[in-house]
Amino acid sequence: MSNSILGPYTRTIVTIGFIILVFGFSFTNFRSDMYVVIFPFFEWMETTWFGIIGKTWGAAFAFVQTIHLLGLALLGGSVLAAEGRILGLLMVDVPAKTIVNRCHTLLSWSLIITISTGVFMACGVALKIYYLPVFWYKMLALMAGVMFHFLVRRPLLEHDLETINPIILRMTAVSSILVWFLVAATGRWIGFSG
Amino acid sequence: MNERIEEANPREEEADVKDAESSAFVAAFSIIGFSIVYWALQIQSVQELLDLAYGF
Repeated sequence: MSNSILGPYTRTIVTIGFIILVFGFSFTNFRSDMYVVIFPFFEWMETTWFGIIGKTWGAAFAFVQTIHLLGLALLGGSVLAAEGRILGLLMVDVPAKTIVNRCHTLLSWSLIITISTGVFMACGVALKIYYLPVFWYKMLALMAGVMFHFLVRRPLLEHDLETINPIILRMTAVSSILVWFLVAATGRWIGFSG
Repeated sequence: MNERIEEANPREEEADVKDAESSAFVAAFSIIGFSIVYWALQIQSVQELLDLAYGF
């Protein structure tokens, strides 16, 4: 059976541990302690080349932001296409496995694009976003989305879809849409705050 | 020896699917539960703001 010391339900135990850790971090004093510790890092971000370019050259910021939004559109499209197919709402004539695998590649690339351009944008407005609660919600949602996609959803969908419980499959699809919707919504919310 | 490995593989695969399913269930349940509470609170706060501004 399983070689892990946690037994045959290793992934489930790790998932529960991670969820407890995220909620523990979000609702305890540890979050506010980290908030103070991380401040010098945000000050430093504004002094980097990215920070100076982002602050002084508006066209560069706008150009990178456009790529960031296109990456976000790609991410949202790949999520909606894959989850829509799993839910049986679209492209039902194409095998679900084909769409899920291709959308996974697309999502991975769109994540690389959005995170790399997001770091550049964050450097330009580091101290502004540091004081925005919605920025921290977005980071938590992004972390949850990445963890969910690569550590929970992907290992599940690597198996034959016919062997997976259809209710769990649908719950996974709905939660994937919800978590990425939260990432996009909080991302846009940053633009309308402060 | 080979027969034993061949016998173990489908069982290992089945256990792996069960583990992936239960971890997906836990994660999906948490995300759906959190989303319901989070968006309900957001909608409620907008309703309160509208109530303060326009009285409905």
